[in-house]
Order: sequence, then structure tokens, then C-alpha cells
Amino acid sequence: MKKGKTVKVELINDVLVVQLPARLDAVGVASIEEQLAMAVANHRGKVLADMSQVTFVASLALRMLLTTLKAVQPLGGDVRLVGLQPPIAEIFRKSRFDTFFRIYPDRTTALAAYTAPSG
Amino acid sequence: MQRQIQVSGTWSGLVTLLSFSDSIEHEFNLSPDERYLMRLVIEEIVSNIIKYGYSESYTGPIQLECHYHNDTLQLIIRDQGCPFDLREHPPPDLNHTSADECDLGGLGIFFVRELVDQISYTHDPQSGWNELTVTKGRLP
Repeated sequence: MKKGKTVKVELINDVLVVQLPARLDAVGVASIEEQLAMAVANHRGKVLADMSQVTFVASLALRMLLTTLKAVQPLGGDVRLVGLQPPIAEIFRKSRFDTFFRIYPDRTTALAAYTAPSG
Repeated sequence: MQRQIQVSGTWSGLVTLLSFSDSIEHEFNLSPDERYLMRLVIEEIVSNIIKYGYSESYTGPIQLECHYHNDTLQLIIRDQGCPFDLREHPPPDLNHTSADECDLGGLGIFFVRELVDQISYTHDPQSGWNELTVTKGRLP
């Protein structure tokens, strides 16, 4: 399977913001999962996955996000999601994956929540 | 409208099928929901066939047939791997409260069952072919 698509990653304050690609199908996941795992393992803290570009998720993508969450939680980190388009939000709701992750409408709200004392 | 393709039961076969899905969603002029459904069914069902129907020591063909008539999308997927009737597969445990408690087995099959209107399955013991038909839209 083709690899090499890069995930856009930036550090905003102490939050690692990851821009996920449009299609998180078998091809999309294979192209980013290694880089995502490495970036998150190096950061060991707060992660924000920006899903505003994502138009397709399959079960493989949900597993990838959950694996990422499981990797950072023991280190005191978290993975939060932002910008889910309606069909994607529906998939999260149906699978109850919306109970695993804190989900915010946009980056500004999510970053503010991360910096809030209780966040 | 009808289109069909045959690929090998491998990951590269799945990549070919996803590209095929791209080309026919334009050709059939599918709605966004129908496009999502077609891609999801292909991804989840074909992944299962590659992972569990076939094996590293034995793989075979996967055939995909797509029909679109009267706002009804029908996908027929055939393979010669282990028989598997997804209608009999137990649903995943979605009553989790934390990630550690989650049993994710069958999540892809769960999505397919949630999103389509009708599923039928046959296995022909003589030829070894499995045939799964999923339909979304007005049922015949």
C-alpha cells in the first residue's frame, strides 16, 4: 500500500495539532498512521486532531484514533477532536466513539479548553 | 446503470476497488450519502474478506458489481474465501465507558448493517463462491 502522505503537524503552545487528510479509508490510514504514532509518541502530551477536512472515516480510522488515545493517556496526555462534519459526527455517534473523545466545533474552542484550568 | 470489476483478494485489490468507487460515483451521479455508503461497504466488507475470508497461504478473487436504478444502489460482492454471513455476526459492545473496556470486534460490519436497507448472503458449497448483496434505497 502506498505510504508517504504526510500529516500536517504543528505545535500551538503545548498542544500538538494534527490536520487529518480528507479520506481516512484503508489507503488514507496506511499513509499517515506511522507518522501520527511517531509524532504523538515524541510529544507525550496534549493532542488535537483537526478533522475539518475529513469527509470519510471507516472503522480502521476509528481504531487508529483510539490507539492514539490509548498511547497518550498513560502519559497524562489526551486526544481531542475538532471540526467533525455531519456525516463523520454521525459515525462517531452511532459507534459511541463520541464517548471516548472530547469533541469541539473548532480549534479556537478546543485550544481554549485545553488551556483552561479544568481542561 | 451497472459496472463490475474483479480484483485479487489483497490490499492492492482493495486500493483498486476504492479507485473504482471514485470513478463510478461520478458516473452514477450518486448523492453524498450514497457515495459514503458505497465506499464504506467496499472498505469494510473487502477488508474483512482479505483479513478473514482469505489468508496469507490462500487468496483468490474478489468481484464487485454495482447497480444503480431508480435511486436504489445495490452492491454485490463475491469471493471464494471462508463462508461468512455477516447477518449472524454479533454486534460489537458499544456500551463502553472507557477505551480500555471497548471490544471493537465487528465495528465495520456494524456500520454496514446500520447504513444499508437490506442484506442478503448466499454460499455455494459446490463452487465455493460467497455472494453478499447490500441494497440502499427503494427495495425491490
